[in-house]
Amino acid sequence: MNLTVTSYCQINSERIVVNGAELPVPISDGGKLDLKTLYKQLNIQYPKFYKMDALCQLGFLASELIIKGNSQLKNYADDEVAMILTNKSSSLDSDLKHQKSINDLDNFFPSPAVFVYTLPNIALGEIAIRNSFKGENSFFIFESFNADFFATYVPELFESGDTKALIGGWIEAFENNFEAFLFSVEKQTGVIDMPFNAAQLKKLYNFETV
Amino acid sequence: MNELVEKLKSEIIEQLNLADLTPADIDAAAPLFGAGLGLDSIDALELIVLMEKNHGVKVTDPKEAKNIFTSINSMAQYITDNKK
Repeated sequence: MNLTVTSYCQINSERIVVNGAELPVPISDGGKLDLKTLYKQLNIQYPKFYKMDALCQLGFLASELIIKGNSQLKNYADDEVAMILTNKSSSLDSDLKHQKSINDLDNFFPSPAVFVYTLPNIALGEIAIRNSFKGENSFFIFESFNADFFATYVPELFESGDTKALIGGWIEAFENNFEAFLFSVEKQTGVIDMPFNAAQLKKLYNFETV
Repeated sequence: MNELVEKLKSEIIEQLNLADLTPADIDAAAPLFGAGLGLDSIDALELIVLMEKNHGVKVTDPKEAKNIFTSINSMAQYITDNKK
């Protein structure tokens, strides 16, 4: 099956790139990427953003950039858009916040709003709710971005079910260090037109000119 | 009571991450759920935690919750009536 990478974006504290075009990187006083300022910079109106944990905020912003940059993703039926995300730290950032709130039995006030984010796949849920995506979705944990995994898994998804488009990639958020690399895959051409394979994904992930 | 209402407004903005709002934007008599602030079920749980953590008032009877969390005014009234 011939699949095409039809859009992509990368976000870290040094660069934000959408389909090859650079965006300004908002930096906080601590020298880290400032997700809330990026949200404002993108002119998005979605108050629930402020309630999300950092992992979900990062995934949400990356997905907004992908979808804004490739409007044909909105043309698919709800159950035709699949999402596969991966990272290294799972939801550890929120897990530790939750743990801190229950360590002391004399000051035992777990926050429901923190607890709901103690699973990485909630990030998929937030993107799905925002866009009414109801296709296949899974979150996998790897030591680092695994292009070979995507090159094997994504074609199987397209061949085995209703999937006609996919948003996939890597969203890593831990202790205010952020790294996102998302891409869309379709059977047709898009804003950009690159063959979908492991070598291509590695190039895009590494900011190599393609 | 007015002081408590203003304090609750600030606490709710902080606890529920209502980043776009200031205390002046919130009508203390407006519904917290549905039309007013548009809070959800997780927010409701956060409000229960906030009442206990910041004001030492426990909501033990779920049947009471609907009346207590009608508005910020009703929350303030419940805290005033039940604070030990």
